[in-house]
Amino acid sequence: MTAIEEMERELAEPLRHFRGAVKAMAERELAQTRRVALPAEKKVGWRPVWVYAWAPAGLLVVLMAVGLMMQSHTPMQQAENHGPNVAQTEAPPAGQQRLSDTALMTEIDEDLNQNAPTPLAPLEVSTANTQANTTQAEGSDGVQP
Amino acid sequence: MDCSTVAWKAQVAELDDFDEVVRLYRPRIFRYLVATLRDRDLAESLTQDCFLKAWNARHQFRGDSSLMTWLTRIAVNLVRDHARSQRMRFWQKARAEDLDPADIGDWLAEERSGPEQSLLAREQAGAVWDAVKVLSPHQRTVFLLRFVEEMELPQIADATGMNENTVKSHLYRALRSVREKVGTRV
Repeated sequence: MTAIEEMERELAEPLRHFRGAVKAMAERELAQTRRVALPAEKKVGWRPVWVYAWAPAGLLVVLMAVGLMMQSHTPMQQAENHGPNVAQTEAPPAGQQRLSDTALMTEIDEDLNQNAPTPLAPLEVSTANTQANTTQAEGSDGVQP
Repeated sequence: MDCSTVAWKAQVAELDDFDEVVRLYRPRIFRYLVATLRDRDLAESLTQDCFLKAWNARHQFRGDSSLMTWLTRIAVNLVRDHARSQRMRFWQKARAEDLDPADIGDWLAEERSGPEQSLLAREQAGAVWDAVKVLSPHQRTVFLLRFVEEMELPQIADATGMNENTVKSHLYRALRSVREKVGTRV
């Protein structure tokens, strides 16, 4: 170490000028270069490719399930479930973009009930008018009771 | 929690803000690379590679060494790998240096007051620059890390993967070579 220290002392001034020159040169050269560009997607974290591949398949499965559920429910069952499901049709929390499957179905059910022909109305309606309404319905759209 | 643990946690946390890491250390890594390679475009390319490698390996940083030492180690390895490639050998033969060695002294011209002092400083800087050019790769690396980046010998050993005695050996030979060339010119 002594020999190294001795040579360092002997070359102190040239080394100082050399260091200053290299630093100044590097600063000038650096100013002309591009910035380091890190991959944008890597800045937000690593996402595996398989997520993007399976997402459409998952969506398809959900849509199929919704379709099957819509086919399996009858109008009477939907009317009976109307009460308990009302709470689920209330407005979702602020910021939530998608309705749940149940809420969506309930919304569809309500719409169907509103447009349901008179013969299919709930049994609470006076039965005295049932036959007359049935006859009227047959004449208008040919629907059999 | 002792001081070493606090320092380690601070260094590891520093990597979370990688934009800041690039801002702080890019000039120093680029400076080492451009002084080693004497090619601005190549130095810029390897600087990019250095920080990309650091980004990909940031979770592996354990804080055993300083962040600068860790980044320098990546840069040293990139220079070594590049020197070994066939492509590098081809370009070494095919083209002259991108940075003209005669220009290195010009960077000092604005900083010197008297003309004689300025001339002497430029001569000395140019002589060292030319002397470093003919050093072996290991000697050049150790010399630049010691006298441009002002790293201590243990840090140089850590950055280069050499043991400290090997670093001293390279440093001694580099200084002897530079002293011989600088002594004959100025």
